[in-house]
Amino acid sequence: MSLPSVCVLDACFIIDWTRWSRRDLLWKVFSLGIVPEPVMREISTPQPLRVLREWMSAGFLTVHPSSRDLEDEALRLIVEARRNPRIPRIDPPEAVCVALARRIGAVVLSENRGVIRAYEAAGESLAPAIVWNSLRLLAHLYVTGAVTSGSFEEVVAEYEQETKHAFSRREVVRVAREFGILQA
Amino acid sequence: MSADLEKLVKEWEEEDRELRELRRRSADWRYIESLPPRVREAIELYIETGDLWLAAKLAGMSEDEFNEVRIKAGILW
Repeated sequence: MSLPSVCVLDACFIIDWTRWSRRDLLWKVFSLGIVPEPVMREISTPQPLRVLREWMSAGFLTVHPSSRDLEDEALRLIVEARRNPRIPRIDPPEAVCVALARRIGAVVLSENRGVIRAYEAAGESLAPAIVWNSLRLLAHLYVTGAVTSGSFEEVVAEYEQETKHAFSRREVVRVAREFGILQA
Repeated sequence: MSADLEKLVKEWEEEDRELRELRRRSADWRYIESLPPRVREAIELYIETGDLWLAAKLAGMSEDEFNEVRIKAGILW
C-alpha cells in the first residue's frame, strides 16, 4: 500500500509534534498538510503557532475552512463510533479531520485514542483515510531511514523526553511489530 | 466479536490502565490543588480519561492552553 502524500493534522498531534526538535521530518513523508479550521482554533500558544507559521510560509501547510456538510459527516462518525462501547469517544475536531481525510484519501495524524482505535478495529470503515498517531509516524520515519540515529526505542525516548508525551510500553511494542521493527 | 478484536480490546484496556496510572503518579497534586476549581476538575478528568479536548473544554481553554497546564502539573500524556 502506498502512503498518501497529504496529511490532515489534529490539534493534539500538532501540540506535541511541534515541540520535537526533528519536527520537520514530517515533510520527508508528506508533501502537504491540512489543518481544518476547528483544529486551528485549538492552537493558541507561541511555540506551535510559530512552527505552523513557518510551515505555512514554506508552503507545506494550509487551512481548510469549516463547512456544514463536513461537520455533519463528522457528527455521523462520532455517533457511529459511540455504538461500539469499547471505542473511546471521538471528539469533534478529530472527527472533522477524519471526514476530510476520507474525502481526499489522506493520512490523519492524531493522538485521540478514539480515532486511532476505530481505525485499528475497522480501518476499512474509514477508508481511504489512514489514521496514525505520532508513534506510528516515528516508526515509519525509522523504517524508511529518515531517522538514522539509534534504535527505535531511542527515537521514541527522545520524542517522549522533548514533548512530555508518554506512550504505553504495550503500544510501543505493538507498533514496532506492526511496522516490522520487531518480529511478530 | 472476533477473537482478534477481543485480543485488541484487552490490549487497549491494559494500555489505558498503564497510562492512567502513569498520569496519576506523575501529577503534582500540590500544584493541582492550587488551581481554580474549573481547571482542577478538568485536570482530574484528564487524569481519568486522557481526553485532552474534553478536559480543555471543561476548563474553558483551547487544547493547546490546557496542554500547558498539563505540563506544569507534571502529568505525562
